[in-house]
Amino acid sequence: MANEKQPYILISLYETLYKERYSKAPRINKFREKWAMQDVIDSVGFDRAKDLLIYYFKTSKSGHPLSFFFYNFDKIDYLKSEKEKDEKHRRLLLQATKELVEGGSE
Amino acid sequence: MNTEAELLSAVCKNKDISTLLADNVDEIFTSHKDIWDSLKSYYYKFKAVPEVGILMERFKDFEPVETKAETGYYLDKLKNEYLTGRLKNIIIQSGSALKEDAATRVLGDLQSKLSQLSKFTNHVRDVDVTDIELAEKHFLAVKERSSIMGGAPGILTGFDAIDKAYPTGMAPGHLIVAIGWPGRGKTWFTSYLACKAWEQGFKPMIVSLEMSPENMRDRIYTMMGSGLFRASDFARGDVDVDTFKSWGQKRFEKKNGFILVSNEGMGEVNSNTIQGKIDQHKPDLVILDYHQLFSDNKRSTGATERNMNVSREFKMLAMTNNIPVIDITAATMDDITDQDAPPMLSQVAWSKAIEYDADMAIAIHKYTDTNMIEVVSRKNRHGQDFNVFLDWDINRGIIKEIYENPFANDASKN
Repeated sequence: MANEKQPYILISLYETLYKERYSKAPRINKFREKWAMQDVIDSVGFDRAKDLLIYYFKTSKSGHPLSFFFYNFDKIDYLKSEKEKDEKHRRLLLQATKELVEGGSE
Repeated sequence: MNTEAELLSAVCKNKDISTLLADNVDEIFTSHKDIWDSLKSYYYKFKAVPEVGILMERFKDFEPVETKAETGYYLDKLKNEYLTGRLKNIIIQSGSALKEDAATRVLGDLQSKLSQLSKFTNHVRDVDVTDIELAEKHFLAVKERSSIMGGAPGILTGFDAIDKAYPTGMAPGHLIVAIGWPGRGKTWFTSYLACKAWEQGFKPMIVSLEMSPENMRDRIYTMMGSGLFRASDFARGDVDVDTFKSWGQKRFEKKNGFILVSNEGMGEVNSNTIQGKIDQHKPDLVILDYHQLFSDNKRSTGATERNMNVSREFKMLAMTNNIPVIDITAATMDDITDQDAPPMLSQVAWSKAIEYDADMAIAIHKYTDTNMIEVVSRKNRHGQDFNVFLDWDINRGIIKEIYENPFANDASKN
């Protein structure tokens, strides 16, 4: 269960990220959005929810509306997990490729 | 008139040996088997079909025939003669065997022999795993082709990492899918593969529905120049004509062609159109840029169905023409993708078709504001997976392979 402050921390983070991206403040009602953000935190935990929010602003979603995040955070979470797995896989492959080429084995 | 001589003469005239190579016709040559073998060796070694005079010089008793039809016509004719002869033999032998052997055994033998003939009547090929002799023949043919072609039965990519992990090279019949986000180096990378193929003596053909042939040619010159020219200078027309001319004369003298095809953004292009271009230019490697811009032969309207059909048709092009085909495809953008790493196979809408059709799938990704391009295999049916970074000065055409993560200390790219 998220504590009282956590949803507001993430909503503030959303506002910061939004301002960085669009150079203007988003129009949101913190007190209403708090409940949806609390659900996100309850589902994935505070730290992961924070990561997902940061990641959300790297996606190509136009306007990055907060409501889209609330409706799709589970899909974003899945894709981000897959990408993290792939990142590890690619680093291992890079090492294996180095050995293949420099070791001269096939 | 000897049909084998007709067929060989037609190949020399029409320069389309792939019609025969794709059909596994070794068995149907009898009187002219040595000439057929020699023709194949010549093709593997020089990547060209010889003039009929070359065969006449080498085989004094070979009498070429004036041909007017397509090679496929004479191939069908020879197949028909071969089948008729074999069928008559089988029937006569079975008739004789019936006098001494049990009918059930004769029938079994008859069925077995007939089923072997069926490979000449349809396009589904089959091999019996327990037929060691057939396997031996195949290995010898691959070995011969590899030794003539510099170590691999296919075209080498020129990248150590890929050539070691993909030991067949881009071999006849292979469909190689190059995946990437828009504007992240797919076309540069595959054009480079075309340049490497050309340097090895092969004839590449790039079908670009995205760029003008002049634009694509500038890129090719930049890569071939290896630092001599800048892509940006070509784009501005800022080229010393004398330097360029003297370079071009040296570089292209007595070399194979390098074909660029474009529809200039107009009109529909499907695999039938590409087949026409293959028939016209007889390339050794075809690059199709890019998948989403091609139509399927059925003219499907649904995007996923069309793309799946195109994938299957490109595979068929590779198989029937017995050449490698590179299919460039953009990963599917949606609202929750970030496009800051090489796309995974699952990020292509018709990834299942790629899994079925592709021999090799490679993801290519140029990192924003850097010279770094990551090339990672997403499927490799003929070897092991690999990952390599290329430090690529695209403007000057200079490339270096890197096997360390250049962004190990950069959290934004990890």
